Amino acid sequence: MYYNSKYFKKAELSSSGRPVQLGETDILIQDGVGLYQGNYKLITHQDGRVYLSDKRLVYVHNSHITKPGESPNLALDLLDVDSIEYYAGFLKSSPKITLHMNKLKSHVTNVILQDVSWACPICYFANELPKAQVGKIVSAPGNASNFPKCRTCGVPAPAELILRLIETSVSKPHESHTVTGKGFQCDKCTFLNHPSMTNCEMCGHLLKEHPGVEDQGVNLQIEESTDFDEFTIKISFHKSGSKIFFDKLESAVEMAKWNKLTESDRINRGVINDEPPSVPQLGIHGLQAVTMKKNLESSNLLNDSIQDLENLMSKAKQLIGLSETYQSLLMSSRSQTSKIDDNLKILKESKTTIKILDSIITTNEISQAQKDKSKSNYLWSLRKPSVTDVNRSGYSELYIDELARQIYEFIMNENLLDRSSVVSMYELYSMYNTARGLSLVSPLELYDAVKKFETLRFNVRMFEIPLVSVNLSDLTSLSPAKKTESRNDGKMYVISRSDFSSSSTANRLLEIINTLDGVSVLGLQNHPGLSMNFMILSSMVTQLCMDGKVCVDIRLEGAFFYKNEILEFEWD
Amino acid sequence: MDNKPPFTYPALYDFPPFFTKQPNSQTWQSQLSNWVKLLLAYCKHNRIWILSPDGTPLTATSNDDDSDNEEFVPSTESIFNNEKIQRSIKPDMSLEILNTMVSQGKAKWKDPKNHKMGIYIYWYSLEAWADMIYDWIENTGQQNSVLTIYEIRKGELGHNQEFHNMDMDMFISVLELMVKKGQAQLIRDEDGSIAGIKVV
Repeated sequence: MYYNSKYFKKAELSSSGRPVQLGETDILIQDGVGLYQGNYKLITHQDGRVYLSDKRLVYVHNSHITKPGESPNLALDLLDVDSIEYYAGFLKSSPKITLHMNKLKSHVTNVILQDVSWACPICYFANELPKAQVGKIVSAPGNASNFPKCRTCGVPAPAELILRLIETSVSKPHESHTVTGKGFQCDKCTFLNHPSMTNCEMCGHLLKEHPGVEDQGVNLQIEESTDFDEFTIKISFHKSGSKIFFDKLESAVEMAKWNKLTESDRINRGVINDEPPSVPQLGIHGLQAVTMKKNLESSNLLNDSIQDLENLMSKAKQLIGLSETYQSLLMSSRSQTSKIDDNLKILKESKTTIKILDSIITTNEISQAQKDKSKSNYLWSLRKPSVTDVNRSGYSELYIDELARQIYEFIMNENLLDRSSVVSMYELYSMYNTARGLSLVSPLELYDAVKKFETLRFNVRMFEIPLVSVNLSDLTSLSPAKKTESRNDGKMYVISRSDFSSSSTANRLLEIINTLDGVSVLGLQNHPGLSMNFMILSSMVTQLCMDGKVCVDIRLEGAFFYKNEILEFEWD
Repeated sequence: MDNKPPFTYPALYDFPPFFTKQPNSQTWQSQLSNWVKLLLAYCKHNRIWILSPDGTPLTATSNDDDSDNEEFVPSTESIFNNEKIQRSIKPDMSLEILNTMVSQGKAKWKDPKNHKMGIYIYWYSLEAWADMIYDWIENTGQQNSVLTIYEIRKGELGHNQEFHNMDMDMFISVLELMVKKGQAQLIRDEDGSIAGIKVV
């Protein structure tokens, strides 16, 4: 049976299979989770993992379903949660967390409440009706005490006027994304993608879902039943960790509500409104008080802006001074006098500018680092070894999966594979850990995580490249029998796109060598399109040489590679 | 013979990797056979009978009775060293090439225990030499007459022949082969050294 749920929204996933974060921080992630509506299972949502962030609860399929329209990944807004209950489980029934949803939501779905201004029909004073009060009126339109009175003349507002105003303010159409023709336009590169794509075909940027779909809730498949409870959602835990999840969820729901309040300034607003104003609000005095308050506000605003302007002016003056010194330098470049003086001046000026820039950069870096830190923090909580599924590095499967997703995102965000087609594990390891800064991952963890790339179906994979670590100059002076013995069949792990194959790269390498007349590995590395790790490149070239595809010339400067002219040479 | 054109090297001789032993065995075999061909052609062109292991031509040795080698000034140029592209073969590689030639019967160490004595390069095999001398004697009607070694090697009649001025020791091995085949008889003087041959 299908039904439409107002609470669940489609959750967008990044290409690594993690939910796209909309200005939120992850708190916890739990594996082996199923969803219930009321007492009935959501058939298609029985095997997934749940991400708890400070704003949402996101269910993601474990099986990585990518087909559009087919049982979407779900997100639940924490603000819609009224209360939660914990059920510890009994015999065969798993522990569950019951979420009682806010009933208000189902009547006024997706209404974005806004402040409404109304004009008093008696004195034409423009009154402001705050959001909170709008909400009250909407929830109980029959209650006359909710309707406002004019702040100047005290006449109550006519009910039908207020209701009409609210209706128009609420039903304002939501600004939609650019959807042209049949495809989705990528936000980043404006490429028109096929509607079934989740990521942009050109740049890999995540595509926004069809905006029209967003607000309608989702159709879900539920076990055959007629009387399910629309307001109760249960999360069933097939694995351990439900208690911790419950605690975190509880605090997250509370925090989300608190944050919402602080964000919309409702706390302070409440305080002001509760205090009985000493000045009477009616008549001439009221008018005076209102104007005074307005004056005060505008003067505050003006003060702020003047301060900003002054700051700007001082910066501008500095810049002008700097440009003048440059100018004078340019003018006097012919006459050598006082040049050193000018240079010194400019140096001094530049120093301050650089300092300013520096501070900007550092603050930027700090905020970036904070973000990374919060990311790694919650990941850390998963690190506890579990007895059931222990990996090579001794950590739970879930941790490794999640780490893999993060590393994948890291690779994508840093465009590692754009700069060079192949990244060695050593490089990835050091770069990733540098980005983390704190609580570093061990090589084994990284190895396990990267190995997961294939099962998680990312378009990046780990490859083993046979590493030919033989010294060519040794090789050329040895007899053939010895040569095979001394061959070291080492391996090197590299990360590359899934379509990478060492043979095709080797072929390209061969083509390049064939066009050049003698080239060293360093020279090859400088060749555009071949910017990759020196070790990998040299190993590949050596392999080519061992296979007789190219010839080597050992000089004092090192080994140089040539097209194999020896083999095809015909004596005339 | 003095105004002979200089030896034209194959294009491969100017290819730098030709002077480095290639790690791939197939390439190396090709490289090796090209070196063997080059050495044979080079020695044939310059009429070099003995080559030193470092690639320079050696003169006839002291036991040759007529060391009045008038036409041949040994050059110090080594075939293993290409001045033009500044490349030379390492000694172990050149030794491998020469040993390969020995195993193929295209060369022979003068003294297998002392390579410095030089190596005979058979740009024709001993068989071919023997046939060539036999044919020449037959064609010039000198059968059944006794010829001295000098007559064959340095004689006016054989001036245009390829075996003219052949290395003494090599010449004797050719004669010995002819005797073995029953084409010739050796005539020795009283102290046992060969004085002449009679082709039958």
